[in-house]
Amino acid sequence: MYSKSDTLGLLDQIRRSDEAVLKEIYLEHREEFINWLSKKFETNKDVGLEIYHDSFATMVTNVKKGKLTELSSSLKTYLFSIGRNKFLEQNRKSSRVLRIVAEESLVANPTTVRDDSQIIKLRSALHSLGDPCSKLLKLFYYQKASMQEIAIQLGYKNSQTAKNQKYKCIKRLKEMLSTV
Amino acid sequence: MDKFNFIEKIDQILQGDLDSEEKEKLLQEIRKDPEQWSTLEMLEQVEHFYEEEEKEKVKSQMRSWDKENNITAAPGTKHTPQNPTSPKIAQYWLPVAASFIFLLGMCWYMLSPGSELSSVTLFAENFQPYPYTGIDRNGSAPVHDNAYILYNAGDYDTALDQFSNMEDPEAKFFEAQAELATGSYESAKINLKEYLKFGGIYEDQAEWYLALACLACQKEGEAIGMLTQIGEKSNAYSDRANELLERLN
Repeated sequence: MYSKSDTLGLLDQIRRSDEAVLKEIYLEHREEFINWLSKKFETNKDVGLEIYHDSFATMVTNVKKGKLTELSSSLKTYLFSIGRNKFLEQNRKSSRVLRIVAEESLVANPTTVRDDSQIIKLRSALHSLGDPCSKLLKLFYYQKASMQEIAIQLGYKNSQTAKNQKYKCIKRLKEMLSTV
Repeated sequence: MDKFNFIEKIDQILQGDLDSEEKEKLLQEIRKDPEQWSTLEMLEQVEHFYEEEEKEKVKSQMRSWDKENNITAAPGTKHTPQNPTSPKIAQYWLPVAASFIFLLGMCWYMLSPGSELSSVTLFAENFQPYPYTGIDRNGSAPVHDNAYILYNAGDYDTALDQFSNMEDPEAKFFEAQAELATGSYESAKINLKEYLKFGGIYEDQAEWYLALACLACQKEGEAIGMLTQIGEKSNAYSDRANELLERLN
């Protein structure tokens, strides 16, 4: 169990993807989370494990993208509250799926097909973008790093150079999308 | 605004540097320019892509830790047939569920300029055009107006043209539905308010869709007010309104 005073250091270790720390937190709460969820929502433990994985991954990404920088409660409380919301959200979505299918209003939506190809294009372009663009865009748009931090991490002369490089990367990504 | 500058403006939105008023003002400006809008959508998707990639990486780590420690989810699970997430049902509905979740993702991708659980996302998750049952206000004679036929067939754009020429208050309600389905949220709000002024058999529905329209317009305060009112009533939408309120809070 981590005290509040440990939490800030802990968040920093998560941000830096410290595998030993992530594993320790993961294993520490795993069984308790699954038992709690299965008891509270009378669900089976396979679903509990799936939701634990999803909740844990969300907690890690929230820390990494700077959405979670401090905690008013413990990390365990935060993790369990993500779990509760995920379970409720999953059930709501599933119920809606059943209802929509019953109303036969979902399938064969031409907009869906068109957008599917747009997403696939973008994903494929991002996969083949390569470094330094991939690293740069990930640092800026996902990890919300400042241009100064990016310049240091990727070895650019200064933040303006990093900014120029980011602009070039976006331009390249757009070009890739228009030619795919 | 040159290209370099507009990317900086988009970045301010995506990095969460602006308050809601500044953000809304900038979004209105960006909406006017298709190139800027598509760049915003693309960069939102970039953020989403890296987040999903990271989540997959963490999930793969978790699976390997489980394997390392030789642990699995405990056997002898409580099976609840009513639970829509149980494996048997999940297996059957998986392709459908995936399509639906994808559709929600698309709504998010196309509509949401802000945070991942934005009011627009909540709208997309909850909105479904209200089906026209072909019954007139007295509850008996079938109505064969072409607008309603087009509406039920999902041809909202053409239906909208016809609804706009109809004087019937009910047409206002369905016009608003078609507007919500085609992304004209502000017009939908106006039509729903107008319908509520006169009243009719769709009053409860109109209140619910008005609350959703407020979410789509990112007027969270207004939406919360509407949802609170609906939640305090006892009708088909009360529980859903309370659920939405819980999520908004």
